[in-house]
Amino acid sequence: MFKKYWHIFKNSFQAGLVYRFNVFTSFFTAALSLVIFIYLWFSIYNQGGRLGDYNLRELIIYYIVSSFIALIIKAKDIGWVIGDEIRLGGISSYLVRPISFLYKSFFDNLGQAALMAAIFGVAVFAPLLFLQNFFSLFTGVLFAASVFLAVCLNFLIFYLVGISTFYFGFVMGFNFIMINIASFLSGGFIPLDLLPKWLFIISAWLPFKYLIFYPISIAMGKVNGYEALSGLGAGVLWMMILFLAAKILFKRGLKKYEGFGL
Amino acid sequence: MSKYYKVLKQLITLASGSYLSSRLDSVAYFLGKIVRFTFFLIFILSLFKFTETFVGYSKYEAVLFFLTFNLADVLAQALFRGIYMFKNDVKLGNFDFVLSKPINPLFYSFMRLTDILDTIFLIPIVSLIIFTVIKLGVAISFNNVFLYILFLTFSQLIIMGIHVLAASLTIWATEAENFIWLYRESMTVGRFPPEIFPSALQWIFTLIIPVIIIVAFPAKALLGVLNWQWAVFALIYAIGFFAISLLVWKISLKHYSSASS
Repeated sequence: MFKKYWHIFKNSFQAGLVYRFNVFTSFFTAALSLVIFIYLWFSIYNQGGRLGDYNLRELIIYYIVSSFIALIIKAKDIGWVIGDEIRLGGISSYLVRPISFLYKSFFDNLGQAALMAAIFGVAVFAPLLFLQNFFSLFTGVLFAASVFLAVCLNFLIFYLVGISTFYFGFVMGFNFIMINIASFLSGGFIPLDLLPKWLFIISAWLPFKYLIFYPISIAMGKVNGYEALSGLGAGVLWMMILFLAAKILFKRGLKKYEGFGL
Repeated sequence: MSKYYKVLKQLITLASGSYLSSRLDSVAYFLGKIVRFTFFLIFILSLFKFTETFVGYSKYEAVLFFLTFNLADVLAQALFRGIYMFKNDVKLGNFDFVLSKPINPLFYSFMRLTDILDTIFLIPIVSLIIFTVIKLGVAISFNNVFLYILFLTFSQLIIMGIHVLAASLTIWATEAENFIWLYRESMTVGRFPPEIFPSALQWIFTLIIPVIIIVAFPAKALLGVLNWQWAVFALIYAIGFFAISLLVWKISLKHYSSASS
């Protein structure tokens, strides 16, 4: 059954290799942002400041791993791509094929994510080995699982944004809002535990923390053992909720769809 | 001149119509800008829970750099948004029609899509700048304000030059449109005072990618910490950069090959 999706995954991976400039732009963006933040932390720590429980080395590790995860999960602008497929009628051709639009979109995104992981994995983890005795095997497995969970959750959140095109017609603005909310409340700007308390509490009740903050907490040993597993369980629960919502909204949305391009 | 005014007025009317035709999405997009701006402001303010100053700058001075970055960036986006449609014009050969109009093709290409949302977004940014200046607790003279506006004008001249270079490169190779995105990303350097970077990087961001001239110079002029040598340098740099970009544009135009004919 999954053979056809394997082909979609493979095609997406290979297509990503064609658009090398896009890969370079993503890398440039991430690297520049990393440089800015690292020098920002240097300037604060050099004058005797300290951000919460984080020492300088931990903050640098946080931002390196955060950039890596962001590159993977944001490999594709899912909300925009899916929104356009619905708006311009591209989805019509999938409706008449023995293929699930949800799975097709997921494996298409997974191919891009895998490409990013393959390209930047070594570049990111090699320097980390010098910075920290990173990962026991168990932590490594938990970290890999949490990053895969992040890819799935990010996909489902923005898949929901994309299919809301059925209801609103055009969701570029909504997508833009969600990108910014997800970037911030995932811990992409600043570790969530450094935010004002009220914002930290809000973020704890939302799925975004599983995109970046939670995988890094595992990697840095801030959560381990039972706590790490229960966190993963909560993330999986969020995934099931979003998956269910995606199924229901897609089914209802199809009833509103006017079939452009058929 | 009145011809250009009439064209600009017409283009703004058309752009407004375009935004109004998708009101819900425009409102959502505007909210997205507010969300991004607010979150980053919260980020900067959060840092001041853990430190008294950033490389010698107080909380409100650091916020002023961030707001000036937004002012320079949003102003350029409001004015030059049309450049993002230039690649398609060249690719599809529509630029032929622009060239055949009795109007400067650069002017038309830049102004054809005034970003109304960014224009509105300027209101909260300017209001916050005024609020921050009041909170600074230091006397800001009329001269400082005048210099701030003057250096912002230089900023816009340099940004316009960067956009002209991007358009020129697009004529040479349509895929070079991504150049403008590299510029947009580089601009984010300006969200913080430049002194956080080592001097080598400060030189790069002053001379090669002039983000520091674009953002930090106006903020420093307002704070009264920019010396006159740098002020003169910024003036020469802005005019020189813009002049070179126009020269590159003229050369590029000679290489334009219509895609449609």
